[in-house]
Amino acid sequence: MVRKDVVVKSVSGLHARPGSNLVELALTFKSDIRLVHNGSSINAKEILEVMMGNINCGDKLTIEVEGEDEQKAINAIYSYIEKGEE
Amino acid sequence: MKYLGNKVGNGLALGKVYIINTKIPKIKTRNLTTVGAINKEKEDLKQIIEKVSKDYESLENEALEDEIKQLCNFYKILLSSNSLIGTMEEVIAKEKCDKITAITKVMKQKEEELSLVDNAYLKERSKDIEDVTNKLIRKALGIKEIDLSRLDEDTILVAEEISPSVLLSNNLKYVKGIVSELGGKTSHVAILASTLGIPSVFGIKEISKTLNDDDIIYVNGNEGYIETNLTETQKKNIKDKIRKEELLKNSLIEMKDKKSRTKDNQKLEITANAGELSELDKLLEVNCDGIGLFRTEFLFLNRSIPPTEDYLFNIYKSFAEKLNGKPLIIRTLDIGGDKKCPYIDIKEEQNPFLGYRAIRYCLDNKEFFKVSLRAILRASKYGNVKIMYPMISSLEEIYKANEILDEAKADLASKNIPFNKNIKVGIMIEVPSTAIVADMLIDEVDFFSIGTNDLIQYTVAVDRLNPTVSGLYSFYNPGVIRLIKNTIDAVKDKKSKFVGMCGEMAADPLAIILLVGLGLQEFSVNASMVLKVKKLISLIDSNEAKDIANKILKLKTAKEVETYLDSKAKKIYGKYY
Repeated sequence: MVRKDVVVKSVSGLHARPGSNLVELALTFKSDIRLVHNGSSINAKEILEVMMGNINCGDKLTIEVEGEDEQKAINAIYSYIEKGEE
Repeated sequence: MKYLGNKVGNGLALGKVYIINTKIPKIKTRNLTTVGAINKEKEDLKQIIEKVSKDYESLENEALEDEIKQLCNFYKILLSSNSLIGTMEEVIAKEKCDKITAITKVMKQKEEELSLVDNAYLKERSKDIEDVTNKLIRKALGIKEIDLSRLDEDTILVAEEISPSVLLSNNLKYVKGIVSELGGKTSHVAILASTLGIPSVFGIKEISKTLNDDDIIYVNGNEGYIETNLTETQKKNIKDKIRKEELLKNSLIEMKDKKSRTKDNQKLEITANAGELSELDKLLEVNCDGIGLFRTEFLFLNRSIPPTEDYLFNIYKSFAEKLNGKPLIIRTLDIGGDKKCPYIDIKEEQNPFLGYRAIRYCLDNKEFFKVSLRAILRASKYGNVKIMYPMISSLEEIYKANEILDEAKADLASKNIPFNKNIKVGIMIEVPSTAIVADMLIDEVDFFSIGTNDLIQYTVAVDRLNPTVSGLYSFYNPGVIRLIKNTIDAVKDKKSKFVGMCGEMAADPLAIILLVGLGLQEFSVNASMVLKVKKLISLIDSNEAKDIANKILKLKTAKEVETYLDSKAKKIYGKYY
């Protein structure tokens, strides 16, 4: 398993478009991808979990990935959250 | 009959009522007795979800607008959720019930969970879940979707609540207006209606039960009302109005490259109000003369910790740079008990609009305020940035705010961080006490911006969202007009100082004539109104407007003012009014 901390950059947090895009991205990997936010662990492949996580701009997350493509997945997810709005 | 509601915008419409009832009939739970039946039910469920998902996919592919594509995509991702389907299957197996019962149960639970999250955006999204649920059930029952492509005359959709999926169909040629009982400004339906340019009014109580199919009604999305029981003459007048609005709209494209001038070539500024990142491109597209009001609240809301100085600076800087020398007036945080931030300690108040808000909070929380001020100051290096304080009610507050600004400047200077040392500082005129002593305040600031929405609300003591008193809220109230005149007069003959307006009154066709006549120098309006205001002002002769304003100052009632302006507008705007 690999882990990495990240701070949410997107102004609208991980709701709306940034949230759906994150889930779409997560679905392209085989590994299990979780976001640890305020002590709860969110499945990044489940849009409802991501939305209900109420992840806002400035929040700290820990990305946890486990599976055959974990390194690739964590890099992609990290840079997506790190990038924020275009 | 006239019914007031919340304006969603997008123009005017006349058409036949078509009541949409998306309510799902009550269905009795079916009990399954055999393992085979349970397995079949699970299989059916999978197929239904797959079919609906495919429907969304093809809608996504057919859609021309980005917003519609996005929404379909969101629904599709929602339906791809393994846990959602898994839970439904579990319910079928455990309770030995039919698929519709399982769908309803699981989705209802998700909807409730979402509506409990303390976030306005997510609360609205719970409506989306309801929409998807109903679509699944209709598919399961074999109920056909509402097909708007079969309409053959101008139609106004009326419903208790319009679900987004109604607007996702691809042929809305005859859908001219939307009226509903529920629905907020941030709802997907409101966003879709704006994208599609459909005149809409939401929030009219009981309207889907009051109206009947085929009634002819008038929808004014700009002002937020509908009219029913129209006489033939009224219908004719409305058609005329819609035609003129269309004519005006078509004449606006050429205004983009024209300078903002009155008919007699007096220079004015027509700037835009902005309050979201996504608006910047729209503003640049209409080529406005700058941003007259940059609301910074969106940078502070929906987050758990306050934004950092660097974060704010980068956003302000990118706006300043893109405006390329045109003014960018940044209003410091205007927040109160009605909009909550977890890190801002403002208690629940009975009257948040008369309470602890905006500059009042910032002056008490100096270090918090200085973060914003330093971010603005740093951005001033990269463009024509000005600072504006909201909710000022007295001179003392200006002194205090400027003291803190000086400290912020000293912080930066001590670290050799560059900024514009002569940055212009202004205030909103929205509390009547400041309009009355405007002549005393102007010596301490570089500009005024009249915020009419609050100024009128405070002057006539009316909450304009309260339908029983909203009729008293008027741009043409003689008391309001005097306060505006007093504010403008205070700035006259003051070299290098100016007075603007950033409320909705600045975009009102009748008020514009009066405001040009009173000598207002800057009109800050929503991006969608910039070209219209520019066009209307180009038809006004400033000397004639001055005479009109002088006449109006003697009129004693709002009705007289409105009637008089209306008669003048007919002459001045001609075929466009």
